[in-house]
Amino acid sequence: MNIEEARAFLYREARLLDERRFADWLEILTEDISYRVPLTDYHEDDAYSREISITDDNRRRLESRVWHVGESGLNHTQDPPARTLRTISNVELSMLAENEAEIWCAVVIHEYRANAQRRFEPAVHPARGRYLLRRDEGKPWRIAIKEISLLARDGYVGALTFLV
Amino acid sequence: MAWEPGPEHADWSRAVGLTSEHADTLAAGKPCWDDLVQPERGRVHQSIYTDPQIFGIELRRLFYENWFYVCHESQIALPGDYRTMSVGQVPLIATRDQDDAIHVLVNRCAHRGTTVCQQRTGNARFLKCEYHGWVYDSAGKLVGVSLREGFQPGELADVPAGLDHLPQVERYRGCVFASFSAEVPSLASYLGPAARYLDDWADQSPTGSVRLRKVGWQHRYRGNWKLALEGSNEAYHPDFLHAVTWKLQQRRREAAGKPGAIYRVAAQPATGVDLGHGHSVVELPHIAAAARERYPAAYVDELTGRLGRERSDRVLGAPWRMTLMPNVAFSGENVRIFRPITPELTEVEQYFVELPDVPPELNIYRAREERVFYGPAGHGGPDDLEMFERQQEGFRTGAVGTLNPWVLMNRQVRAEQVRPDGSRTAHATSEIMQRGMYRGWLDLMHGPRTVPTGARSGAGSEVTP
Repeated sequence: MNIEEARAFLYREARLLDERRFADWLEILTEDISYRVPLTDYHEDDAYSREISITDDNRRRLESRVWHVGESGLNHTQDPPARTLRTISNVELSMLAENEAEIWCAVVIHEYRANAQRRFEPAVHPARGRYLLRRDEGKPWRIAIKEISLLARDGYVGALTFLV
Repeated sequence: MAWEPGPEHADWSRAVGLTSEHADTLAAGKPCWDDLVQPERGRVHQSIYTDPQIFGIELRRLFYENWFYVCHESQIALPGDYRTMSVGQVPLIATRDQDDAIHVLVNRCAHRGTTVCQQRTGNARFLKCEYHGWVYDSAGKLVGVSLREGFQPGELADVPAGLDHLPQVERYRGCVFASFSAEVPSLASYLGPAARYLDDWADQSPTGSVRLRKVGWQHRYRGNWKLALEGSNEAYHPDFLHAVTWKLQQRRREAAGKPGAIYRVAAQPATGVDLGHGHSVVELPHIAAAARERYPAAYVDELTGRLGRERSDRVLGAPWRMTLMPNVAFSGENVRIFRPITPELTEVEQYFVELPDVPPELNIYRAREERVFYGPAGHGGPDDLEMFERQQEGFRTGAVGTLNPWVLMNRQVRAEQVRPDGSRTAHATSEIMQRGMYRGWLDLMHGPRTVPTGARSGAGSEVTP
């Protein structure tokens, strides 16, 4: 993977989420995906320190989340569903192995909810993104870790009841 | 009715430049609380959620002249540890001094009023005002005045001994409560029957004391502070608002090949209790039964051995949700603190309750349960906040006098029972917890009085000495 491919990968992922193409998005995640939105610093090898977070999903929990956000009809904070627009920049790539890549980036998620309470105030969620991508030989790259560390993580972050 | 408005009621709103639809009533000294809040009929007038003058009086009566929750002692565990918070609108610092005593100080330099502590949590031997360099120790004592030698004789006479400190600070099972009022009745009388639940809460831990995380979730909603207090132990709504939670559980069971009926609070033998003083609890014994199945056996066995079977059924989980007027809600796994900012804006801080000396997987399990429901990205808590905002939106109808201004909480108001200790009960899905909250609200808003209301035969009639 080169830096241009890394950017293209992130842009496509952002568009899948912005367009709420959740089934397609799940396709580009590994089976052992770890989807994290931390509250504070944590230690990678300390499971408990990661539990105290905003989100720390494995594949099963993430699929539940996708069902809740996309299909359940019971996500009251997403009625109507938020429109989102992700902009990605400051992309840095580090190849850890031939089939393993770490990407750092800056992400800004713009969120607009067309309901009575929020329609005058679109939300902006700036964050640092960290991705670990892996691929099986000859297969497309997939996301093994997606970590979105919000600038306001231990402050007021609002309802993050969409996929970040 | 014995309520006499003091001149402070008119001054209050004038001072902050607010007007009220009740201004004339309040200024004329005509008691209106019983018109606006009618717990025995199970309804309140929506202006109590919007009116700026009532908001000001609430801050005074319910927060500043009452006890309130500050923090947990484990969050300031070491000498020099401090945390900042606001109660009502007053910025405070809770500290543990070098002699291990806990203080609740006002975060305001005695010199020019600048806040002296900026971090949410930390450890320091001294607190220094950065504006002119005045220094306080962790007990709040002024230990350094800059350029002291240049002050002329007598000029330092007006300098206080330190930061203002709250005259009443007491702890119960690790929870720090304080009051701005030196005359407030004892913490024990404030807690009343609620103390028993804090015993159960702390006894979840093998050491008899739980630990709160220093960093928690920060929520905010565009609605009145009372909506969160009402909503925090209300068991009528979960079957509807939180239907997704039960559906997700059902999906998991089905995926595991163990389909079953969907959970419903309404089908549980669960009880709401008005504890007096505006406090209330909803008892959910099925939570203990589930915890007995799901928690690590080593923990369940230790707890059952330590407390006996009967009491352990009241502790495991813990199997209840409790709110204390004015600013805190407890569950086995969390503490939520409510902070009114304006009549229509409220902050909520939420801290996870850790159990020391238990199998590590128990804290992991509980943290996960907590996060997936209550967290900012959870499938429960954000929906609650959303409802509070929708309520506040609905209350805008107050601008048109011909529209229905009443908010109902009368479910099973005619089915309340009185327990031997005087507390009133009804099914969990009744709105007795909310009526209990407003019985306490009325007592506190009326202020000290010598004659009991007579409207209440149960808990709370002894709220003021």
